[in-house]
Amino acid sequence: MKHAPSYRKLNYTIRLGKTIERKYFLEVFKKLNFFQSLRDYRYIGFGSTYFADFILYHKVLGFKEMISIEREQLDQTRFNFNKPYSCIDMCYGDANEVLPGLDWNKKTIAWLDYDKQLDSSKLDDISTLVANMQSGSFFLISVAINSIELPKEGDINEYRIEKLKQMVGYERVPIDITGSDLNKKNLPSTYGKIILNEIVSALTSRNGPLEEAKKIQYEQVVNILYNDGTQMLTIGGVFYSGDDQDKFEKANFKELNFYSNNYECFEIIAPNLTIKEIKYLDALLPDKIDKDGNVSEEYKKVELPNDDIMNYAKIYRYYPTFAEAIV
Amino acid sequence: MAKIQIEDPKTVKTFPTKELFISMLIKDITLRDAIGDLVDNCIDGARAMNDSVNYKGLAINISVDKNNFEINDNCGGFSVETAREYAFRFGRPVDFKGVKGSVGQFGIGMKRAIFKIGNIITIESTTKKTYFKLVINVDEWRKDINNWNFQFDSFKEKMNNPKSLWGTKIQISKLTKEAQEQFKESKFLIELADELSKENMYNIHNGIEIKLNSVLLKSQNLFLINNDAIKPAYETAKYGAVTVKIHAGIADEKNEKANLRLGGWYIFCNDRLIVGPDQSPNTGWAGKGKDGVASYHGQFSLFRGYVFFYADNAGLLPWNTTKTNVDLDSPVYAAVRQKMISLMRPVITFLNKVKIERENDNPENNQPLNNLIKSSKQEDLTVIQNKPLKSTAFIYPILDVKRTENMSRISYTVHTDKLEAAKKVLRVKGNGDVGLKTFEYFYSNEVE
Repeated sequence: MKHAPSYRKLNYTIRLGKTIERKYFLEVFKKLNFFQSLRDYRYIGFGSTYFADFILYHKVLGFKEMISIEREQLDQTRFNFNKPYSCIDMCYGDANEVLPGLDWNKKTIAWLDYDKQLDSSKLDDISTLVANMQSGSFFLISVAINSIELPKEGDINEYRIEKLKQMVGYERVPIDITGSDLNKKNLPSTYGKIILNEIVSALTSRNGPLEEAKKIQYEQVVNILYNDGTQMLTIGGVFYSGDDQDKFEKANFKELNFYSNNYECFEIIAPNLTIKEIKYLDALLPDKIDKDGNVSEEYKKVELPNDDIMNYAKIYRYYPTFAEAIV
Repeated sequence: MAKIQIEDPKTVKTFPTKELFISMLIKDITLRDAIGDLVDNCIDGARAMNDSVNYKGLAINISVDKNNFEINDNCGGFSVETAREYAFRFGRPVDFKGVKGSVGQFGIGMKRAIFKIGNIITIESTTKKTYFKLVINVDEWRKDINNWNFQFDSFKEKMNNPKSLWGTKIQISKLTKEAQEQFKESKFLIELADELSKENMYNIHNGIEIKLNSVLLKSQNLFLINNDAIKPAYETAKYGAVTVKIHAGIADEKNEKANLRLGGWYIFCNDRLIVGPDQSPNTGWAGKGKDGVASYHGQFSLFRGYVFFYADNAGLLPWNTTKTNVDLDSPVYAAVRQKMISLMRPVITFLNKVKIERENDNPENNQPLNNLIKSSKQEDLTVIQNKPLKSTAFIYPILDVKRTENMSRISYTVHTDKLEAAKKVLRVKGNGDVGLKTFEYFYSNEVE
């Protein structure tokens, strides 16, 4: 099936990068306790049939109000059947349709976890969130990074810029974007720019007439890239008003080891290691391995590539162990 | 001339010329807008008479022909003092305390309007305590470049006039060329009547009578479907001293022909309609890939959005000086526009679903949303506004999606002999079965 929804192509629970990312966000969300008791936050996500994020966050963080937006309206019975907890509300329809109709008078964590590329309707969803989210709310968006196709003939750069304009909208492509910003390597940071611009412009409209203390600021916290077969980019951050500035400071998002408030992506690379190798590295972490992935001679038991060690060190606390089990 | 000698050579002149006011600024408005401005002044008078917006017993009479223009009202008049110090100044002095919640603000409307219409202007106004008459001959006035003042023909103060005399009368003769041309056309009068009754629909609703060439203008009412199944969105916000109320929903289909023209946003400032129906990016109809919803077209013709801005100080309202559009650079308007877009999105989604229901020859009894709209009655907005209102997004019924929603119909003609031969091979009897089987065969072998 060429156009099958992605939940029929992939079992979300065993995507390594995604699993690690999902656990990273536990640490991000815990910081929101400075704004309001985390249990009282509302979580909005795209649960699909697996509800992996809903299960993790309900269990660990205790969210009581959760909304899963589901566009595949024909399989409603299947989604309702798979809903793991009764506190999850299913809202059927495109995020585009559902988000503007929600009540926004509560602090919210919204993860727009798309499996497709960035396009104008996703940017509209960002605008909807920015226009409506209360101070202390957190927003995340995930999109696939597919390199923009090459032209059959003619100039690559012009062709790609035109393609990007068609995807995200002519008025959303910054004037200083060049063709080389659109190659596979640079595309994530270009998307990052476009997303940030959208947030800033929606914030400008929202804040214009408000007094300083009520103006909403946005601080990007997350800019993560990983590849579980498709390259995925997640960008997110916190919204807070001048009144809540001290709460934001106390939360200290900067201390997160994957924190990024710029266009540079924090990359999750899960090296292929055996369980024996993993145990060996775990025993040396966090302080017996230096920042370049060197293990001092006295502890060295096996030769592993330095970049595998470095990459593992970045994620070891979140690294999942998949095992066959009857549950 | 000798006076050049006394000027400081460092001085750079910026003093305005009379021509700026007589011939330049009038280019920004139409004759209809000019008359609208004069009506606004009458409304401000009415507003100043009592604190409430009950205008019962107040009237504005406008008469227009190819030689003369007249507007008179019984809306309180303006005093000798106001005329002497403020009303005829070009621009409002900083210390001017205007009428609370007024629609006049810039200190340009009346002057620009009378210059637009004609050359000989007679203004008489009676208040409780004063009376004045002032005649302006524009051609004479423009000759003396240094003296900007007008002179009263007569004035009286410390009077005790009965209420029946309070009011203002402006007569204009020796009309400008464009006024002469347009005032004789019935099309102009039709458009003027339409515009004045739209702009002042709330004022008419509140009791004021406006007559154009003795014809009483009727208020044009605003409607929304408002029942348990379909409920308009409502939101209110306060930005400093500006309050805003937003309603967004749909009208019914009664007026099918007119709907395409009537669909869109209507924006009011202190109850005066500024634009509407607006179907442009200014109100969020930005088109795909821009900061708003799709461009306005037929399937959205039932959309109705109403925005009301209120401020005691009219200068804070997001309108332009001609009151013909919103001020897009106003931070208040930019924030409200963002809210308007949020509120209209669900309505647009609903109208898209309504359209999809009608597609592919879907039988009428299988169109629940369309049937719901047909059976819904719209309610007058003033009735809706008089009920207690709670903030809400647009509410519409979410129906279970049937499997047919993503289906399309194809039909084609083939040679009968070939069709019969295909039936044999496929072992089916109906023509439709041949179509379906052959499509499935192609799809599973060539597409999947």
